[in-house]
Amino acid sequence: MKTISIKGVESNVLASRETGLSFRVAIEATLQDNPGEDVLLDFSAVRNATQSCIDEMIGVLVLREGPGVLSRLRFHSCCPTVQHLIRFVVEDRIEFRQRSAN
Amino acid sequence: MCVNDMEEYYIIKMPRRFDADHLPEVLDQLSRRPSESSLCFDLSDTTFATPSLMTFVCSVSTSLRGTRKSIRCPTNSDVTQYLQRMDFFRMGGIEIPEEFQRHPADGRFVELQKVNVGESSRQNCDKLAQDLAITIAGDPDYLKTIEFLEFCIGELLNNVRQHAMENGFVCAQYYRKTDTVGLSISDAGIGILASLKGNPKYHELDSDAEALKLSLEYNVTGKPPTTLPYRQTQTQNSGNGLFFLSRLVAKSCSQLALCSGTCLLEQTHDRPPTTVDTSHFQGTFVELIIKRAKIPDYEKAMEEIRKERFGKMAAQPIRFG
Repeated sequence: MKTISIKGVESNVLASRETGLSFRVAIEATLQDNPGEDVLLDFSAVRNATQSCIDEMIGVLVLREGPGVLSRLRFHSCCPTVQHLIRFVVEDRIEFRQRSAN
Repeated sequence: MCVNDMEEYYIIKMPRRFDADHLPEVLDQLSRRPSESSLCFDLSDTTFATPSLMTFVCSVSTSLRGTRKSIRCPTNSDVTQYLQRMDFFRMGGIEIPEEFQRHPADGRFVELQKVNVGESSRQNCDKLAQDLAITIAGDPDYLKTIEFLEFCIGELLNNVRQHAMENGFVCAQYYRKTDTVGLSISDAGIGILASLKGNPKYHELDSDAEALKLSLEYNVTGKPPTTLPYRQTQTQNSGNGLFFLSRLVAKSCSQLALCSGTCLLEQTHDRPPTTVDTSHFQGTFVELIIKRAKIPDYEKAMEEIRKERFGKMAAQPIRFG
């Protein structure tokens, strides 16, 4: 299993979309370069996050790849608030994909 | 910008204490300025300088690039000193000798700061949001306040950086007496209506009031989401940042004011958003007043917002642990 350490820029807060984008690019590359292998996202250095940042990192990934991508991801040491945000953006983007398909 | 030079200037008389409620009156004065005339913000009556005053003056000054501008200082020297300490004059390129000793913010205020936007900007909001929240939380050990503020500030900074196209300004103050945080972020960008029109779904939208109300709703964005291939390095926008902010305001004893174009929207915890027509404001102005003691349990609030929106949706298999 490959590991990506998630952390804010000089901060334990993931606030900006740009931060989310940089981790999404890393996650996409790791998934692509390691087919069949899971990716562990280590959130132990994250205390708080915005919806926008988590959406850019995880929501857009689900939007592009579909919910199946979640089976290759493991979210490690996520604080409860970040867990709620991850659930929110996943549900939001899955709903959008369903609406787009109809 | 210069100071205390009022000759040949069109004068905007600022009230004793400027907050969002004064926007209609001040924007009305601004709208009557003869084009090409120089502009003076007259703060002589100001006895209480709010973050909103500082961000508003700076963003209007930014939007009137090429116009000569001046500021008439408050007659109350304490207020002038406070504005100096908050870097208000310095931000306008005015250097006034400081006849006081600068003390650290010490959990009470955040000086007026620029929020840089544009692709060339490398400013990252992570540290800025955290630093701002810690600085104004009133008590560095009060994690609930800090996390609530980090989220609100982070979403507002993202909003400026996504839509402003012009640098913004942020400023905040914690008021110990009322246990309240006043926060303002303002920019001279394209505004919310023009931003939403970037999405074909809202091409027909032609009312600032409608745009402001929509911006607080779920999944409203000027960047239409797409499942099609797109530039990997381009950010997407789900249009939920202000939705979350609005829901958090509703769950706390907070007040949110949003002004863009020709409309001022105000929302409090016990009242749905109401709008008032104003004269034109170039950009987006946000004022957030937060009663620290009334901040809800942050984690619970986030869970509630998610359940309110997706309560009936089947849980997705997400592996935490």
